[in-house]
Amino acid sequence: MARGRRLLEILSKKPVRKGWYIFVILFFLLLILLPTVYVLSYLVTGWDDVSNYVLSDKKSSTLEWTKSEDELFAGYEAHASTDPNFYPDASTLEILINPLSGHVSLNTSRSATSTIVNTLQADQGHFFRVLVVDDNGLRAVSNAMSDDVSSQLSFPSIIYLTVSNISGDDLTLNWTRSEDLDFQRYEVYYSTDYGFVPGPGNRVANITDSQSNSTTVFAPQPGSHFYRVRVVNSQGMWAESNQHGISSIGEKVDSPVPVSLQYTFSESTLDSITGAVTLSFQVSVVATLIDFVVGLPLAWYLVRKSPRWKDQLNTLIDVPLAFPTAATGFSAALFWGMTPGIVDKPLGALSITSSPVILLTLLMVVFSFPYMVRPLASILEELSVEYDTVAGTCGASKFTAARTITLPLFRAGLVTAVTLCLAKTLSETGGVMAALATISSREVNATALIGTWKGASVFNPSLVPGLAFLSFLLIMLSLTLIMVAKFIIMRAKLPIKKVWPKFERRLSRGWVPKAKDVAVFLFLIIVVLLPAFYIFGYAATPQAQHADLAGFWNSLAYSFFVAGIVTLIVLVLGIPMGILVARHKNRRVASTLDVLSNIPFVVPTAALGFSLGLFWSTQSIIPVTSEILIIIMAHIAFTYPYVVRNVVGALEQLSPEYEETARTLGAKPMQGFRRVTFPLIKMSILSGAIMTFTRSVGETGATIAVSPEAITAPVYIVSLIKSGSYYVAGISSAILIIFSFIVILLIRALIKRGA
Amino acid sequence: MGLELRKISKKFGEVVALSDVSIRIEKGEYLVILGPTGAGKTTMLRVIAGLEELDSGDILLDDKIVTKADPEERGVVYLSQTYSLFPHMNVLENVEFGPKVRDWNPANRERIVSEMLNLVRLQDRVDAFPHELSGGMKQRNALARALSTNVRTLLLDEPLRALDARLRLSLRTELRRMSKDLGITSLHVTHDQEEAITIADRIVILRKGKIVQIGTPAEIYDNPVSPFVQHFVGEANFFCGTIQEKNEEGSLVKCDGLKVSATATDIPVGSEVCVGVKTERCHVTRGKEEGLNKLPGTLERELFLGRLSSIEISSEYGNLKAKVLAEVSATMDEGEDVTLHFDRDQAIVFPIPDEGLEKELEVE
Amino acid sequence: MPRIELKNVSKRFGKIVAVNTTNLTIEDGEYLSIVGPSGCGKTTLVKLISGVWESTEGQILIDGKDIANVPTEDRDLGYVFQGIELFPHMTVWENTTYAPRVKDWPDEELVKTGEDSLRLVNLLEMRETFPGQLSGGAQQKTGIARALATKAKLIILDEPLSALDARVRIDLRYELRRLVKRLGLTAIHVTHDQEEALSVADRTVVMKKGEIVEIGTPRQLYEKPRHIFTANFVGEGNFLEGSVKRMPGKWCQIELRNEQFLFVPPMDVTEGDALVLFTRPENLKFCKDFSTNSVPGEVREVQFMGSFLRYEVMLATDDPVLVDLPIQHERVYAGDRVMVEFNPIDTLVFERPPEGLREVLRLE
Repeated sequence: MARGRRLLEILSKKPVRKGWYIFVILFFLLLILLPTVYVLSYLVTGWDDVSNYVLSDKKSSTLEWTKSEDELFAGYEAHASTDPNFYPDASTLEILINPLSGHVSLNTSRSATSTIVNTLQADQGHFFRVLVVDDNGLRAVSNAMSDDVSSQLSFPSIIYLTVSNISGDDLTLNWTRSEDLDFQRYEVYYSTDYGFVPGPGNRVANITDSQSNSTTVFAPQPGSHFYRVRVVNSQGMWAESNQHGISSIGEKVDSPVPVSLQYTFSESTLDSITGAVTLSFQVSVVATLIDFVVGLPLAWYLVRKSPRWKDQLNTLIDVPLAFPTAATGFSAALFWGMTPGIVDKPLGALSITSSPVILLTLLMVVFSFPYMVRPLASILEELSVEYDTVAGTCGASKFTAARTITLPLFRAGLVTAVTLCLAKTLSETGGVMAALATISSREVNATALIGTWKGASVFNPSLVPGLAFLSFLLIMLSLTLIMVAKFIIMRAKLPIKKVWPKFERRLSRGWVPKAKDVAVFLFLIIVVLLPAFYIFGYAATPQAQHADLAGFWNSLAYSFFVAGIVTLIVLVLGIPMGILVARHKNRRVASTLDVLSNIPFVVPTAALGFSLGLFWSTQSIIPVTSEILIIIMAHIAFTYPYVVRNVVGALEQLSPEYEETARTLGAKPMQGFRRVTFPLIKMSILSGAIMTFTRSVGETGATIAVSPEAITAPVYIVSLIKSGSYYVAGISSAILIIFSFIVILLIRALIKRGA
Repeated sequence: MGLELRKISKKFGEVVALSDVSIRIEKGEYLVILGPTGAGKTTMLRVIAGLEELDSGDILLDDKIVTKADPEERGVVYLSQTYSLFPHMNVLENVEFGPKVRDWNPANRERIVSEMLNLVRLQDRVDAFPHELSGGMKQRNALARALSTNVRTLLLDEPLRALDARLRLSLRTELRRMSKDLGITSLHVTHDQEEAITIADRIVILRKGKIVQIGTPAEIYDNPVSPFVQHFVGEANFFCGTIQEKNEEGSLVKCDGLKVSATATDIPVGSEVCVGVKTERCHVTRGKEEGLNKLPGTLERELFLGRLSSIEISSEYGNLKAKVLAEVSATMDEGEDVTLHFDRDQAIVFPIPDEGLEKELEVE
Repeated sequence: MPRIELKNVSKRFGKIVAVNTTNLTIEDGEYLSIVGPSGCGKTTLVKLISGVWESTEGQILIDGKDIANVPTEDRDLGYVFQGIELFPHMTVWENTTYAPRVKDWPDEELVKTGEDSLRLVNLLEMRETFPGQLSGGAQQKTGIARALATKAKLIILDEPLSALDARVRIDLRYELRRLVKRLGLTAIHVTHDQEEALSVADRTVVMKKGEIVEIGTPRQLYEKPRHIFTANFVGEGNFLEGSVKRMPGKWCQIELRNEQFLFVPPMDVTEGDALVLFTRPENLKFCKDFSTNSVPGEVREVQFMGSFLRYEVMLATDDPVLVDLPIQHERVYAGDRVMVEFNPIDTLVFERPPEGLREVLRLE
């Protein structure tokens, strides 16, 4: 007790207090704000790269292939050429995917089954093949794909070759039959050379029967004999099998199984950026509008009608805040989307859309709905009900009063709500990636594009300029959009002069208001709650019971560890900042800090994460290489405003007279804070802490934008969906949601007991 | 010596809250600071408490300069309008707050806390939380909290404002009595002139950050230094005119066909002046009478106040007001001819204010 | 023309009874004030009349018509609020013309109504000002203009002056009464300030704990209250407990504590009945010698009250009493022994309340 008191006294000393505040400000400015916007500086230093890779006539080509399961797997190679019949060699190599080229683990390389080639000329069509290389240097070539839509060429699919030693000096070659409609022949290649390249010189047989799938060849023992088989179609295009044969000591030697190139798509780099950004903004604006149209009546209902089950209703509305977005995204996509790869969806799914725009908009409404209702409700709460009464006694019907009095006074709250909604929807990554993967959509929005490119940039550093440009664009446009929205809301002239008493009276009574309430509730249930909770139904299907969750538990532990540390640090640094903003005598300092501390709020987290990663890898003053540390810093950056906002809000509500009275009664500043202020704003701090925790656990964008290797729970869920493990993803999502809830309840209980 | 303010000034941006204010307040004095909203009253308390920094000037407590001292070092307790009882603490915990943060030994603490709770008669409500207390109890709780810190100076910011009017009448004297019994120096801010007159040892009239007058209630009431003071502390009727003659005993002022015999003045003969008479010092009789300091007119309206009635008379010299005993007004009817008169001693001569009389009399 | 009748009106919030079976009739053109301590149900009562809340039981009739199903906006009344509640995003003009606007009156009528209303409160030149830039008094005047612009004949004034400075309050209450009478409105004025209630109204209703205690003209309530609560609430007074000693014909002799006696006019009591004597401070006097109707005592304190002096005297009956005397009175000082003379005509007698005198006199 005595020691605690001495500590408080020391902390109350002016120099100590000042020093601490200065530390808090510096930490914020240098380690949160600066890294958040660091990407802007890259545009200056790396402008040449930006103009070379982004603003030029280059295209970005996405390749996706199946994962290699080869035991000796060493890496992939992506090759491109304008020649449809090219054979991959050093001159056609575009991207190397192996542990050395990406400084990553072998497993990461193996899982990297997509890449982006961004160095090809946009005005030409290209042909792509992907190679798998193993430890012995043996390679397997995938089928070819073209990004040239005008090309009439078709390519056969890969086949697999095995040899079997029947007897003596004969070998039997067996291959999988080609299904190619345009089949012309199989070509058999033979060499005694272990790493041979098939060519006219070593072709040993042509087989024109498509039904044929084996042949016997003479292979005297001992000796090394290696074979490949090609499928050739009528256009002369080929696909090649793996290489199989026996070595001089009679062992079978197998090259890796070739992977199957499944998807290529090219687009001018700039086009893909603008396309993604446009999608983001489209979805964000429409979702915010929907939020407003429905959120306003709901907020009104909550505050003005103050129903008996108001608390429960509030909790329901807040549910999406606690749900990790990747889980919600998966859930909503299952509910709304036509999901080609997924069978056995339980009852209730609507499955009505395959359009990414519609799905994302619906999804964003789920995510952002609470961000609209909360501020609207709280500003309504503040607006004296008496205004309505005054208007009533002046002869205004309820509708007229709302339209002419309450709504115009609403602007400030509306600005907050719209800012939050826009920021949230522009920033959302995990949910988007999960949803798009669920409906197997290739279209991406800006944050998902950052995620994809950042993932690919591990093996393709030339993507960094594009990422920087995209992040910059996203940040700038977000800020602009939010400022424009604010300007419109604050300045828009509302038509409040003219009143139509009869008409508005009819709107105020009878069935109209009732219908409105019913509609709003239906919306809340069908559009927000059902899609969010649908995952539990899916996770409860019998097939899901056998899911292997080991990987998920690891990622969950990782997530909670990060979120715990982040919450602690944000509390320690955010509370003093909140106090500074709310109570600093110099209002100019206070409002500057206020504006600055809100910036991370409106910076989309994926862009923020990328910027942060760039900062830590570029600056050399503080050597931080640990990825988890950078992830923690990134999570601190985007959660920081939650605590600051909450503390500021609570302190602004709390009359400074309490602290002042405490001091005139003899309390040192820290004593006053501990005994008077803190207990009174505790609940706000708590809710800030819960927000921080849940946002950190649920965050995908900032995490993958820092490091694609960090497997937090939502990142893991997204990767599960992408790889088609839907049931595991479903169970994992449900568990993640439940765990998030449990932690929230625990924190609440702990703090309550502490009081 | 209790408290001294030496030429203190304070500005908020462009707004002058206090300008060159100097006062000496004796130990144990009950000083009331009276003024309209925005006069700088609250600022004055806040700078004394150390809650605002001064732009210039010095504050002395017991002859020691404390201008730069932290609030907790001054031994001055500030009670805001709403009392600022800590809402998460009960009556007892609120009272214990001061002793606890000072880390007094528990025995000592308990003694003083129970003493104070007894003093304010809240010993039976120690477990109640502020929101469960009535307005008067809150005030007593806040007082006990302040007194338990061995406070020497109490700053009361409109302590009665939050209470019902009738309760205010009962509680205002109680405040003064408690402060006097404990020998505490009190500064009590109010905008209510009746409250000020009733409880103050001395009153400071503050307006636009400046001290207009300091004096005992009787001095302020009977010898106002300006029309504003005369009008603000009880209403007054004013007549503007020029001094026609004067001697040591009185003066004669001519105002548009009306001659007013007023108190003596230094202002030279022929100067434009205004003469103010407190409405409570006017008499009203039935019937029309002419003569010096007699103003005939018609009784326009009577407002019953209880002991007194406020009477409005329309006369050729403008609308006049008088406050007379209710038993007197009971004999008169609205619309009746009456005469308002006053004694020479009650008619005080002032120079015409710089900004004109109307501006001078504004109470907001 | 509005004549308002409340028949057995009750309003309950859950278990709390805010208004209990109340009957009240307000005549056309009457200025009625409702006064009572916080939480007595006075505001609830006018909220029921205005339709902000629905009554739990009973009928409210305006001109004989039950208005239970008429929403506020159709009740045709003006309402002035305690919190003033001017629409902050509208100018004085827009606030004032809000009612004409929402009723979609033609432009000429709107302009005329707005101008008339603002002219009545002398704010026409402030029409383009926003409420935030107005002083408290001007804000409430705008609030009044806004209510007047409804052209309703019934105006409800819900603590209209509570938010204002004491001095402004006094000026504005005169204004209110003047306006209401000039326009021939029916007014219901709710306040907790007894002086305000008495001064503005034709008739005053005193409420306590959801019930009407007494209705009467201000003068009657102050001078001849029928209920002991009224006596205490509408102004300060002295209460002495005693019992009937003898009834020797013309006067009735009351025995106070410590063998002191007083005479009061005869009444319908029997010997031994427990009573409370009541007199206002201004009805007491000091007399030099022992007179038939006096009680000895010692002056504890003398207070300057502006137009009079207030003496606090501890009577030989152990009752503290207040005595208000004009200033010209021969001065008496604290510590002096005096005889306090009771005027039998002005001394009222109440039955001693079964719950005890203190309980009845409690103000909160």
